[in-house]
Amino acid sequence: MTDTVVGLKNITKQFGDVLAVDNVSLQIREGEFFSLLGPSGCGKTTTLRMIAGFEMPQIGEIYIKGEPVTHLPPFRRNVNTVFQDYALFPHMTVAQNVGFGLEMDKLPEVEIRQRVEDTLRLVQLPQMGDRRPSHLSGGQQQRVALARAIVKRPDVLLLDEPLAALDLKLRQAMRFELKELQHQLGTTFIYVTHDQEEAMTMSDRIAVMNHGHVLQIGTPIEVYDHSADHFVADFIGETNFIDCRVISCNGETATVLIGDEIKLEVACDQNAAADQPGTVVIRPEKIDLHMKAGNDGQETAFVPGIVENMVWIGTDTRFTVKLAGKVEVVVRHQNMRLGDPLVALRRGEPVYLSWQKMAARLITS
Amino acid sequence: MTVTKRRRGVLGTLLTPGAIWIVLLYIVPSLLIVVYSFLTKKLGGGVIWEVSLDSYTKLFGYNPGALILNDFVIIFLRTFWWGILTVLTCLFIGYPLAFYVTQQKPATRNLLLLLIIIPFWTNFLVRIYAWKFLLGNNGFINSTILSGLGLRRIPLINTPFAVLIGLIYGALPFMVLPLYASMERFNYSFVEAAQDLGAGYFRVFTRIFFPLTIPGVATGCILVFILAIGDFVVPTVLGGGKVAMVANLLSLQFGNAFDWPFGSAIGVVFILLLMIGIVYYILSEIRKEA
Repeated sequence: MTDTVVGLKNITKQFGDVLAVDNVSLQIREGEFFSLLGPSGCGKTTTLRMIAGFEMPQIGEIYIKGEPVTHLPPFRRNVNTVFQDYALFPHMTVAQNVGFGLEMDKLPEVEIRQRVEDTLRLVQLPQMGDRRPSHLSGGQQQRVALARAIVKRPDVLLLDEPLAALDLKLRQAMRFELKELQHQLGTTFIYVTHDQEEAMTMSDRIAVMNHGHVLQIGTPIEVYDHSADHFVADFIGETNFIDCRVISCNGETATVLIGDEIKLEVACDQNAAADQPGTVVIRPEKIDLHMKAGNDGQETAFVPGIVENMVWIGTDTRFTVKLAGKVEVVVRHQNMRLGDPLVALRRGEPVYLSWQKMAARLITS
Repeated sequence: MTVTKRRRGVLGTLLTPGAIWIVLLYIVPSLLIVVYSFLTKKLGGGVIWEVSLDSYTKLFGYNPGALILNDFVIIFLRTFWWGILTVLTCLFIGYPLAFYVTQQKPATRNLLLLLIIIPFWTNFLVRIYAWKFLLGNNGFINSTILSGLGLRRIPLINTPFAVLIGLIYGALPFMVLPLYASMERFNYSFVEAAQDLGAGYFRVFTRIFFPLTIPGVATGCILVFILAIGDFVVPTVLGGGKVAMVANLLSLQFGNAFDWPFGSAIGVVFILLLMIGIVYYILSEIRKEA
């Protein structure tokens, strides 16, 4: 495992009666942008704080570059953190803040000055060295916090929701900048966020967490298209959950019954017993809408429905379609063509749905 | 514009009671003392309205009984020296104490703060008399502890040591409370950030924690210093009149010597000396803001 830079082995952390992190194991690779994604209280921040050394796990081992660091204090680990509230020292200038870590390493003053200057230029804050952090905007403070953490060239950079305090526009711009910075530095980033869009746009891999467990680790595409369970599918993006009953399953595809009438063939990852209840998961943008039933070859059988509601959003139109047995499905239809007859559909009019067979998946957990 | 003008009017009205209080009870008497210090002493108290510099020449002039410094200057120096000793001791005791309190759970914290404040519920004079019983030649320390251990009694009461004990005892809460307030506000993510950047416990304290609690240190030191150097009760009760401080000298001039102009001159010099320190502090604060 030469390319693993941070390894967590069976980490468990309890605060009083609360199990914050429960038997978590992770292998984070050299140079990757790795996100810990989950709702508040899922254990993502605690996991990050254990890597940084602010918390010690009760059970398990943490390795950085192959060395066990589980019980080392933060100042003995070659990792640096960008804090959610930035934690810039208010009694120091920007340059003193950025140079603090180098000063702690007792580097010569000339080198400190040079590296602080270079790093401030890298985060696009040249000439700001003499200011106090309180005289900077939120976005500028965020960059100073980033500069302070990368100036020491850590093995791993830990980021604890660094964009959460910024306004939406700045946040979106910073995503690309962060990703670009990570590319330039080649440093491993471990990024904690509750914002699935943030995680999806920046990460090489994502670990989705809930209630102290890691539910799924994978690339953004894997996590989105092959969500491991109900929670992951629900947390990431918009999804239709349709209750069903399994008729048969061979471990790759399953035949399910939705309501009393609709019989479908769907993808499935695990084997499911016949007559077991389950959920069919399908993303709204993966469903095609048609005025009439027809055959496009690879698509599933056409499912008829009635338009229940529709909202035109410019780039696409969001339909709510009612199928037999009062099952409601949300469909996102791309507004690709002018004068699209589908967009002219009104409530109560009949419509047909279809999708690629593998786009609908059976989940039994 | 009208809104701000009106707002200023409302705020001005709110200021009135406080302003009257300060002008009538602080500024007017202070100016009166300045005027008195330049007048002539009247036998039996009061002043004769004749300008004179006698009080100041007496205060700073040559004193035949003393070697180099005149007795009054020595009392001033002693007062300031004891003030400094009190401040340093209170800081030395109070800083760790305040830190300990901030580290407790909220319930414990409030209990400990209450314990620090409780002595204020009893009259200061009464508490200093209690110390007299503790430090007396037949007091608790001498008769119970030292003789109980078979040691010789040592004279404690009516010594500079007893006065310092009293001053420190009385001023300690005024050091602890501002320190507590500044430590309570301290954001502990600074500690984590500093540790994250490679600072061990010692450097976290010297580079982050202490510098950020300096406002509390400054407030506590100023409060304690002013209280200590102005104290009258402690040197009287625990010093037995043998180790005088400026306040004792002052009360002597007004009460026993009936030399009001000289007493006023002592007061004026005292206030001016204090103001140098405070003005310097305020100016440095303003400079820091800019």
